[in-house]
Amino acid sequence: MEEREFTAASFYRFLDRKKLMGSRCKQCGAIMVPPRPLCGQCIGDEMEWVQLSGQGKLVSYSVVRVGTTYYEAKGYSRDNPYCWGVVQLDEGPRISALLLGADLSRPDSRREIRSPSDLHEAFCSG
Amino acid sequence: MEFLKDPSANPIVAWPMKLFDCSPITDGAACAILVAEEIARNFTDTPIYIIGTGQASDAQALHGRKDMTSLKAAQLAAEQAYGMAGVTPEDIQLAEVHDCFTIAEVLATEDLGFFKPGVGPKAAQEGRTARDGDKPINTSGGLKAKGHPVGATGVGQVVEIWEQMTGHAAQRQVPGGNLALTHNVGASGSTVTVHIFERR
Repeated sequence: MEEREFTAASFYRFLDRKKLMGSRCKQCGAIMVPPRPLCGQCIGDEMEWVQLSGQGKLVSYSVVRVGTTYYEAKGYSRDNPYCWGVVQLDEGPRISALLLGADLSRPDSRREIRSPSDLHEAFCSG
Repeated sequence: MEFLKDPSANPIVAWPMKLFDCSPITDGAACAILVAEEIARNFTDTPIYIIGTGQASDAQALHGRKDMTSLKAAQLAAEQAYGMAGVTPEDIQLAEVHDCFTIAEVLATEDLGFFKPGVGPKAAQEGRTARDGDKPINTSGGLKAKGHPVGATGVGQVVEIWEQMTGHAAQRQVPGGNLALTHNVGASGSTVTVHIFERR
């Protein structure tokens, strides 16, 4: 794995190449997504890059009709809502992501995320 | 309250939250005079006393938290405040909690130990948290009905507790009120403060 700082900027550069990357603590094994230079679990400072499968389960979500400024600027609105969810990745950590391709007419349906492309907008906006 | 069922009057903001589930953006101000216990009676004949305080923090990102139906920071802050005051959730007679959204109030009443996890919604529906219920919550109307001027909200909660404890709450007045609590949340639960007040 190439040398890159454990930063959000690195995370996005990997994401541009369709790679979902986190950092793993060499001491306790906890995975941080997006990557962090310090372990959020044991405060260890020896981290290594780990590629995540992008597969996981949807933990919770909302269909947002009055969105953030960022998403309104991208064309989302009351008539064109977006789906935002929290996903438990198969490797353990949870991430937030814009869920593309979700069936918004059935907002109570739980679905498994089985495609990395579903997660490609992760962390683009707060 | 029929209008709440009308999608044009009460549209979805972020499913399942509708317009009237969300506290409005509000202007407002609140004021409290905080002095040492020994000199409190120089300022008022009816002081109330802070006997417990707690503050705790948690991950800001929702995905960084273990549980999405509870605020860990609220549980920890409450534990500190109850411990310092030497009281239990059952002892608290009324409370102002941070109901920035409908779900936030019921989760708060669970995090504070008033009701067991999962029982908060039922308790609210049954009126147990109404002014004439056994655990009055947000007699002020709370953030949703009173408004949520973010910087003033926390002190505003204390003002309501003071009015209740000193008999100044007019048509909102509830009986009792020797022991009350405020619960204030910042940044989606990444910080929570809990205070316990006593009338002597």
